[in-house]
Amino acid sequence: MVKSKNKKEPDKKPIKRIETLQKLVRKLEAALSKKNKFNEEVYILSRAVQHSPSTVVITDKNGNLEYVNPKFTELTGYALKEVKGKNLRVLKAGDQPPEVYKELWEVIISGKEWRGEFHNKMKNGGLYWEMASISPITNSKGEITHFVEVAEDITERKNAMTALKDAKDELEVQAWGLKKANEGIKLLYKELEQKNKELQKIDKLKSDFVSTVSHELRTPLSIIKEGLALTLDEVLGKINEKQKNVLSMSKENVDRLARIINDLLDISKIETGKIELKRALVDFAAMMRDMCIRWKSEFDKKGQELKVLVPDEQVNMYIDADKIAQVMNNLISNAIKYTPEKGKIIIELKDKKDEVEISVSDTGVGIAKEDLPRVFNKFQQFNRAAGAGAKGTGLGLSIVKQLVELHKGTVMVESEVNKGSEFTFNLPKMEVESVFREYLNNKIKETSEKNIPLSVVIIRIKDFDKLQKGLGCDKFHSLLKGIEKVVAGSLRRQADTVLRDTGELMVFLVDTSKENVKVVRDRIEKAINAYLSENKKEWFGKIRVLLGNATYPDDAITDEALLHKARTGIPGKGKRELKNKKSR
Amino acid sequence: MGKKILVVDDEPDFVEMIKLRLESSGYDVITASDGKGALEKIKDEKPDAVLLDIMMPGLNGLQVLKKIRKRDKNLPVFIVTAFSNEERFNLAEKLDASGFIVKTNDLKEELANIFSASRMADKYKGAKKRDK
Repeated sequence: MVKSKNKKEPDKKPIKRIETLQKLVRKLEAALSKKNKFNEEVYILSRAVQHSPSTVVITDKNGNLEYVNPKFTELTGYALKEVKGKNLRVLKAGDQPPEVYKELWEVIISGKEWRGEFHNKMKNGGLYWEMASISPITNSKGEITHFVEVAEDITERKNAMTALKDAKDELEVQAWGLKKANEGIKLLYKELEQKNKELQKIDKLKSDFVSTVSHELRTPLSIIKEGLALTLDEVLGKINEKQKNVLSMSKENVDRLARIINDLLDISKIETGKIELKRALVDFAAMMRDMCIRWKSEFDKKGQELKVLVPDEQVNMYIDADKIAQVMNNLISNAIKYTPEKGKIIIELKDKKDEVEISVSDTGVGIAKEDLPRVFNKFQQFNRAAGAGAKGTGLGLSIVKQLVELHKGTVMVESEVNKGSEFTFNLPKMEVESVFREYLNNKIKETSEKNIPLSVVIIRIKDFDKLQKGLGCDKFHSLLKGIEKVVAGSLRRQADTVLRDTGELMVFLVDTSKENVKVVRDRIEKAINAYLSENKKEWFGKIRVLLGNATYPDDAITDEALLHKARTGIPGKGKRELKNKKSR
Repeated sequence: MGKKILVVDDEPDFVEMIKLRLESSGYDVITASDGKGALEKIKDEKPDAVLLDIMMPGLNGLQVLKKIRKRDKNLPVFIVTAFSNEERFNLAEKLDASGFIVKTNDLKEELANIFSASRMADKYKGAKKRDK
């Protein structure tokens, strides 16, 4: 290994030459050793590159491939000899924007390292993602001679990411879908609201129509009726029997038409919620006795026996007396009509704990079992042979049912053909407070539909119970009546309603705003005080009134909260209410 | 000479019928077709009672009643209506009507009711007759 080619040279100065040679040998040896070491390093490095789990690619300065490692071949399917000399571009999948490559190029020719992702194509056309690092290799002069790219296959990671992203996208789509659905629902809701409004409008039109038509029909009807009556009464001269018969028939049917129109109007009002109960404290027993007296002549006409089972003591209830009278009139007239002469009719009132039960039973023709469920429907008339009197409208019992239900009561019928019928209805006894609340609720409904405010003023008489004992019921009653009248007189609008209660008056001011209600309240207070001082000198000073007010929707939107708000500021409220409840 | 009744209604046929009915019972009947005419007739002819329709063009019955009451608190004025609407009745009561007649009821009865000798003098006492 230490052989020298210089041996052939002539020996001039042998020793020196040897020394020189020895020096050279040493140099050579050093160089060789260095080279060996270098080779070893290269070997190790090349082994590392060869077995690297990453792909390693070396290109010349133009990007033409000079070396690829086995991992590269394994991943891409390209052997070194296949791709040597080809540009790195052959690997491009072609779906990344050119800017990526442009940026990469700019970075590496400036001598820096570039890191990034490539989407590449395998030999078999399959695609993969790699995370690559590309660095330039420079010579001793600093010129770029090569580039080396070390890369890792990240396809799986990428796929997982994509799956995640897809999932996220999917979620976003779903969220969007939900949002849209939500918007759709909102839109639908709006549409429904719109439809509802339109329906309400139509409903109102319908009931306005019925009301107008009924009124318009009534005037000509009354003229026809009176014409027939005048002729029948022979005011205009004598008529013969045949003429009389025909005219009587005509008149009866005009009467029937009038009843139908009235009933229709009632039904229409009830069904459109236009009927508001005007509840007031009524002695129901007295009212029933009065009604029976009023109907007496009709019973007598048919020789029917009437039995009235009504307690002698007072049965005080908050009912709309007119409406309940209408119910009774319908039931009683039916009983008379469908009960033969000499029949028996019983009218009974039972005062139960929480309700009052009223029944009208007869020994009449009765109703067939199969017809019973339809008794309270509109325009239902059954095979009940009508008595000598007028024909019905087929609406009476339907009105009965609706009016009773408006009072939160129920109505029932029991009947057997040829034995008789019994109609029974129950009316719950209502607390003053519930009556107030019912009234208030109706008013709230009415005003909120019209989008106008509603104010209430509550007037309380201080120490009501004590005063009532001191003054006596009758005197106190007339005092309250007087105050109610004064309050009504001090109001300027017709829509204002006053409900009298035992010691508390409530004034409903439709379309009176929060700002204006104080003015009204002051006016009411002044009027009451003036009334007490001027007209009833004995009471002035003894009686004090307390006032409170609240406005819907400014102060509260529920009946309860409104009442509460109106009553705050009226002292002694809690105690008094408890007392009232007990005494009832 | 019978008592003089003023009938105020914008329906001439209805006025005619009522007139026939009242005259057959011995009343003298004068008529007006609107509120303005009615007020003039009351002033000029001093009727003993007035039958006043509610629904009239121009001044309606309630407005006319208000004006009558300003001048005369005791003249019997009976509201005539095709409605059986309670609110109107209540209003008429508040305005001090002497009573009311429902057009579709039996007019003979209705008139007999309000014109019975005692009624003519008495004020209407609020015994409501239902429109059956």
